Amino acid sequence: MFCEHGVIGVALSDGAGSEAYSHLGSAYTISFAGSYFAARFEELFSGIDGTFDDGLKADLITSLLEGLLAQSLEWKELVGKEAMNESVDSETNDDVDSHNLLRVRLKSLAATLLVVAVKDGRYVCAHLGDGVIGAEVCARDGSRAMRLLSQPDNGEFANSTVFVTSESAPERLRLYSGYLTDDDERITGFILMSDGPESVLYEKHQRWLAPACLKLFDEFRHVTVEEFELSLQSTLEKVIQTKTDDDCSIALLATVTPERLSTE
Amino acid sequence: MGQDTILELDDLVYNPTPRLPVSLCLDCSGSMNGQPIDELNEGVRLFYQSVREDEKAQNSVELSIVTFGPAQLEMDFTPMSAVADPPQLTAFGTTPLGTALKISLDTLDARKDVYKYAGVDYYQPWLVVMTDGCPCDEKPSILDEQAARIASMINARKLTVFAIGTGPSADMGTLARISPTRTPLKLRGLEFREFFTWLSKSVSVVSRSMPGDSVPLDVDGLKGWAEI
Repeated sequence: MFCEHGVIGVALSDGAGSEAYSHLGSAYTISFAGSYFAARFEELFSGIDGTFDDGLKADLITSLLEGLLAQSLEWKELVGKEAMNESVDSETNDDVDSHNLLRVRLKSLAATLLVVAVKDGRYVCAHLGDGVIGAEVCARDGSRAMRLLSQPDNGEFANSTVFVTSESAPERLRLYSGYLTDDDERITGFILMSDGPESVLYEKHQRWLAPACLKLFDEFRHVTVEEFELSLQSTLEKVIQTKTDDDCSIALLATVTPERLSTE
Repeated sequence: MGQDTILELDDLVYNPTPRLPVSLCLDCSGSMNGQPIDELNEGVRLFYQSVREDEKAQNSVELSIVTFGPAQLEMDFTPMSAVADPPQLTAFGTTPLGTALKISLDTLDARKDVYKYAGVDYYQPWLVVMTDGCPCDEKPSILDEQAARIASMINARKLTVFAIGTGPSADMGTLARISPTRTPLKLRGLEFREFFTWLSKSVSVVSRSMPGDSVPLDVDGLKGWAEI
């Protein structure tokens, strides 16, 4: 979670399974997302009509990768020079090509990106890769429903997706923005999930989120953060992970209460 | 509130298991008569048995069998969980490899359309081609057309091909044309069973793979059946 410059939000990142240091890549991606979206919320929101500048997407990815690369040099010190060199050198030949070295190092840090940021009744979202971003929507009569904001991007095949380190990342990055409230309804919460929970909380053919996701928001609002995290962890381990082998992560951002809109 | 788990199993949605379509394109021409066709049948039977012993693979793998001499669709894509026994293959006729490849690829394209329509995820399809001779299609250009089609699919990362030559007369040059990025292998003797056992283990790995996973071939396992 991040909260700065009047922006509050959550970010989630899932490291690529086969990449040695993707857990470091996903950790940095989350950290980057918080800072970037907090600092550039207004610029990102400017794409309200859906026409986000391609340059904006390219800048986001480029900034992330530059930071990731710089950070990886510090990790090299942490994880051991030999370990990093071993994973890098196994894919390059003796005649070291600096571009290839860079590409291989970044590839080992591959991760997805999901982020939601809110400020002054407005939101922006970014999504790269699989997983799902959804919203809890409250109607005038107080009824609530789950709404899909961003679906998974798996390309054609089930075991493929795009990562922040992929060459096609700028083109496949999806940005969304909007207002939390309109005449008829209000967004009262956001949910981000990785591909593990996606497989059991998101119906892929008809593209809808399980109504049971509302239970997560109910619990979120009625217990402490610590209690919720324990319950969520238990849910992931005892329920969701019985149905999937994929990594399981869920993040929520919600109003304290699902406020009922005025009937006027 | 504050319960142990927030959700129950009944709260979860059902999504179909991602499918792995595997097309076997098998030479059953007259030269396969006798022990070769018997060993091929036994190999296919072992493939069925092995895949069905792996619950995940059984729910994922869908198999089609195209045979040639004459080229025919022996079995269209069928979930392994739904197939009782493999068809019994018989040896007869010539070697219209190009025509058989066209049938394999056409049925594969049709199956992917079914998946897309039904909202079923799938893995990169596999095409396994086995032949013991030289191709002799009625229309010679059909082999060129299908080889180009396969090359295009491989370049676009839409297809994985395994090309296997069996017996002393297998045309490895033709197999290399339809497997441009993976060197065709020669089956050692009549070790069809060993090959299909390796194949079943390989598909099991794919059926467990997740986004971002590389799916390496069991190169060591190749030594169990291939002349290397």
